[in-house]
Amino acid sequence: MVNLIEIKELQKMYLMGKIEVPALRNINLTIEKGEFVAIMGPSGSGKSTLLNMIGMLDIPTSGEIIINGIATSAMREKQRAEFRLKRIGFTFQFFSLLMELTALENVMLPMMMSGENNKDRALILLKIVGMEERAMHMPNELSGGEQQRVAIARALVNKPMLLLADEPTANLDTKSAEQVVNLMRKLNKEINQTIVLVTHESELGRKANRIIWLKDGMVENIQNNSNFDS
Amino acid sequence: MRPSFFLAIKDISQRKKEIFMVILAISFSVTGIIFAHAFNNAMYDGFIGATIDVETGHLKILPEVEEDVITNPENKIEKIENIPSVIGASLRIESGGVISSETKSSRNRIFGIWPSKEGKTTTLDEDVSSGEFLDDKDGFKVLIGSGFAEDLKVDTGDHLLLSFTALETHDFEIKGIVSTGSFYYDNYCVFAPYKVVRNLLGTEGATEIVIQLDDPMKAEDVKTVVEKETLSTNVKTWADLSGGMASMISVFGMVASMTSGISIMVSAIAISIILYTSVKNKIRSIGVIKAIGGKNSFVFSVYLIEAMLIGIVGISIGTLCGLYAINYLQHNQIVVTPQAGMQVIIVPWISTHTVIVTDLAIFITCIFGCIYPALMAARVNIIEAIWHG
Repeated sequence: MVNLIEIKELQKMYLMGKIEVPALRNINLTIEKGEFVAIMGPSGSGKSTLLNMIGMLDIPTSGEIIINGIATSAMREKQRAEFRLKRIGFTFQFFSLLMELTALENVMLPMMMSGENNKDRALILLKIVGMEERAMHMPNELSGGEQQRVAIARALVNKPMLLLADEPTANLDTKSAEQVVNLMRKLNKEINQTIVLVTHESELGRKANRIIWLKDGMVENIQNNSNFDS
Repeated sequence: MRPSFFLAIKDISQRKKEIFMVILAISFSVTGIIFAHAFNNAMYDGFIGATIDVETGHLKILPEVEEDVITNPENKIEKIENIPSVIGASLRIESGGVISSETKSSRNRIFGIWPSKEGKTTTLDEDVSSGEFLDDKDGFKVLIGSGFAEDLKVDTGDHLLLSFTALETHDFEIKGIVSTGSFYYDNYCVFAPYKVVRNLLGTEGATEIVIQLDDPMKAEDVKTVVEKETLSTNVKTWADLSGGMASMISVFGMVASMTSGISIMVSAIAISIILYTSVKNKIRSIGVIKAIGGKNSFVFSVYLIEAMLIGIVGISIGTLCGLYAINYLQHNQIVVTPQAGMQVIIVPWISTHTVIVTDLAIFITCIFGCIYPALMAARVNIIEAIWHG
């Protein structure tokens, strides 16, 4: 298996007034292509911070993140945006669909921003996530689980090498949460999509190949799939 | 469709009512500016235009200081008519006298005019409201100002007695009544053939030579040439002669300009506010757009396009309304009667150049108005926006 993500000596410090607060400390990790990885840990352990670093939404204080052989830490904002658009798909805790666009238009947006306009691909993705029938509905006409599924379809429209999901089930009921994570598992198995999921729910984390436990900004433990449900 | 244009349209469609109000504000601004300038042009034409078109021309030669008349006026006219930019030149003799009808006598002004030259130089021949204009062959015939005619209770075909001195009285037939828009001419003057008046006064000179140019802005330059050609030192431009009224109209122009400035500010503020509130209310959405790969320039362009679209619609509506109002008033003219017998017709008009400049100014203002909110949007911190927006 090929390493898609290599994290070396990653550190992130935040300045709170005059005090430097370490959010991440000496993180060293690799994530292989086709893996479904869950990042778990107590609140404040640095899970979302790590995900933001991998997704290039923020810049590390020191260390390096290499994605598909490309060092990303020194990239400028414009390059990072371009990389996110074409190589990384995001879903967030708060669904984050644009309320003025239909489900289909939300899915097509990253594709349009890349210069493409393939409506069929967007519809296929909506079908994969089970939202084909609701393609022309506005986000406020969809339930939380439905919105999250549309967000997943949007994240995949540019065929990213990596899907990052930051607490995608935090605002969902149990059934919807399970549906969303099962969908991610299905995508991982059927199209070999590399997924990094941040969650605080151990039931959902167990659906991943590997769990990376964080505590106080450091990797505390890594558990492999053989120990958990498949 | 470009994604930035797509998102701009979608954002506008989501806030139709607020956007409509902004478009209305911009439309009113544009209409106000166009109409103010058109009305200012109308005021100028109505009050000053009549003065230039009938009384002063663009240049006027007056007698030299300490002299009563202009000597060799016909010789001077010949030289003036050969100067480039001169459309026409006309001799006049002005004299005081008693003008009497059957019912009333009045001490007023008598002008001797050269009809054929007057027709080329001024619009007096076009201002005949009743009867006919004078002819070079006419003898004892006059034109009378409309207000004066009303005062003397006379009409075309009636007779007036004109006295230049206490001893002699001469009978003139009213050939026509003129309504020039000039208060002085319409209320205090009669116009008789130049040669008749010259003979009755026993003079060889004229009291003024009126000159019309193809471009009033050339007045100063042509004045120098006229002075040189005619050896006259007392040559006045239209601005010199209508100074008071020109100043008044100039004040109107300044007010119109100030109105324009305020309107432009209103447009900028309206656009700025609507986009600022949009950005403030959509921080999270902006964060998401940036998170999924939207560059700062992309986000900036969405709001820039929005401002441009709002501006274009507002400007189009405002321009159409302004031009419609002008067209309406051109067909339903405003007639102002500042004094009894005087009529000034206010006909607004505007040049294409002014309309284009106005539209461009407002459009550029809309762009300036959007810069701060657009920059604010472009600089949104992704993580803060998504988590706290």
